[in-house]
Amino acid sequence: MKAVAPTTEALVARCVAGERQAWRELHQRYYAMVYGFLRRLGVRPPDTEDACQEVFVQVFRYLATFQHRADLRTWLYKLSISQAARSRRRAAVRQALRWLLRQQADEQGTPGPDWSESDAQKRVHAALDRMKELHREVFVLFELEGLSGEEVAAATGLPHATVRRRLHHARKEFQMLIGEEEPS
Amino acid sequence: MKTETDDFPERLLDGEGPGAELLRRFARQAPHAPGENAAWDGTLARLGRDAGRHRARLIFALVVGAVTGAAALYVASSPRTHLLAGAAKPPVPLASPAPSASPRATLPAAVPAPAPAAPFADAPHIQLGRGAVGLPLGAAELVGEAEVTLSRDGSARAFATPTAATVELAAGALDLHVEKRQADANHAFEVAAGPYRFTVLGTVFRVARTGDDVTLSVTEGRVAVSQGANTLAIITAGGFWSGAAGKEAEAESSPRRDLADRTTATSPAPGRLVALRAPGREVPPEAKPFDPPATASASPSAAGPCAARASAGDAAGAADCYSTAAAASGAELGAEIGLYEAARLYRDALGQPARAVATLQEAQRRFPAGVLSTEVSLSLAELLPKVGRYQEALDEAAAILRRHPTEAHAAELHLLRGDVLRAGLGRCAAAEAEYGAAARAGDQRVADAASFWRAACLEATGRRAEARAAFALYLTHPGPAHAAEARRHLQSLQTALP
Repeated sequence: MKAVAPTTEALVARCVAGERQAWRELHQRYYAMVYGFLRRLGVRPPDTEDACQEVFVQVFRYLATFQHRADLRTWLYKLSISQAARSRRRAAVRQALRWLLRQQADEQGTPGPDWSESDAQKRVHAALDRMKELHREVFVLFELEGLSGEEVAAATGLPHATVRRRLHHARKEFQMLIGEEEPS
Repeated sequence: MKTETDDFPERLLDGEGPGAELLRRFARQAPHAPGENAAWDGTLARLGRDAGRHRARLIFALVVGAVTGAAALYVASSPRTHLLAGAAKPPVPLASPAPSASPRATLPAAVPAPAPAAPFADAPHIQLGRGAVGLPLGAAELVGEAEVTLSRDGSARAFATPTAATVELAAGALDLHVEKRQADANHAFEVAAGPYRFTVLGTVFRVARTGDDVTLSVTEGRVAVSQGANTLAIITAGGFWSGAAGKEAEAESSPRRDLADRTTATSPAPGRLVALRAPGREVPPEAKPFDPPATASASPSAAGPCAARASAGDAAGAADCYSTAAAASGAELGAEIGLYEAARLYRDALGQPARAVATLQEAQRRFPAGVLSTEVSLSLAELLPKVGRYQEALDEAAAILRRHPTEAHAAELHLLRGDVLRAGLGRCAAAEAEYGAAARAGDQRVADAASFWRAACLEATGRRAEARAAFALYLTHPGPAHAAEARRHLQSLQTALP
């Protein structure tokens, strides 16, 4: 008989009760989602694992007070958005310091090609990297993570109308960026 | 049925064109996440490090406290000792006049602030990125994160010692994320910018300084700005505040400025900024798995004993300690915080809602326009129904809504009023209107509950056609929490109605 995966509520309850195995299960269930989301938000591979760990540290520290006020997935997106912003700022500081010390630019600031990615991934990542941060968040959540408008609003803390407006601009920006890269 | 989500366009990858095709190909390949096993090990190690760091600081704090406490008996008047000892200052009688010196662990006036220099040139303790900042008391320690944004003309220098942490901001901007809010005003992480001292108790905000202008913008939480004994403003998330050395501080226009209780700043004393708990946040600061119970200071002298009792698990003693200290204090901020903390302990740790209500009402009576007045009112509105005082709860919620009709917690208050009217007073007709208001203004969680109970109230008051429409609308929401029950009601209504 196939084992039935516990519901998120049950899993969270076990985590809150201090069951270490439940923590592991929660991590296994959401790790790829958080990693992928951070990556799509522009956190570069050397930093993505660190940012991912930080998100889960936050989750486990605050889980007791989560109280299911929102969907766990929405909360993870929210934490990831904050963490991605921090990672990007740190990368910017590192770059500034390296520039001050007259060292070579941080390779994370000018990434080389990642040959493990497909052409589609490279092109979409390149476009996402060039999108405005505000646009990218709603674009990734809506278009790539498949959240509804209301879920995007909940994850970003933005009013519904703002999400819609940003999404409209984000789509135009994305299409323009993709169009720029189309072979002539 | 038309819902808000219908306003959103179709997803791009469901459409036509090269962009859609590219996205489809992209979406088919999940980003390659490196080994989950290794990531889990890293997460565990980090969690363990945090917990270990906490324990080490606790032990260190006890040692420092004991040593400096003993030293203070001999060197009672040394300001340097006070700086380094933090909470281990010589005790001050509770009934004494308000101390003239700031109780915060900061650089006293006698110790000149380090002069601005080239960025980070001689600051060995600088914490770039995530920085752990240890503070004197275990219960009050703070793990913070200062992310330094360099500007062309400016510099920021961070100084962290085991007993205090200060960032001196000569110019430029600082982004601060402080995860934990258990530090009190005695053991704080500070940003010094001109005459203002920004004492971080937990929030996300930015301090920027250009010449003599100091500006604050708050991203998360709520922040009370005070100067000397005056509260200058309460800035909510999205709000903005600015001040200048030697000038009157100003609360600038803000999207949520309606909470900004602005008073004239006449004192040249350093400003102080205290972050408050934001109601309804998803990540409240209390009760983290690895942390001791939340504590805060009632007054400079009471902070140590009360916090220590709370840390030792003596919630009753801590609550009494805060109450006693608050009663002995005058109209100080510390007394207001003390009453609030005592009420929180009665409510959360001791399960005495009636006593918590009495304490909150005392805070409300003594500090009607205090820094925590909104928090006190919100707590009262939530607690009064639990002791059966429904009408008072309704009045309290209505009073907050009158004062701050557009605040983020308005939807929660409408939901609360709806619940009290429906479940407490059996007035479903009146509750329906409150639920309607909550559903329109609330986030997903509030809207979910409000929409369901609005439909239920419509059914209970005989408005069956409207109830049917309301249940049907409710079921179109993403992930409705009461879906099964709503379907049952809808089926019964559809059977009964032509």
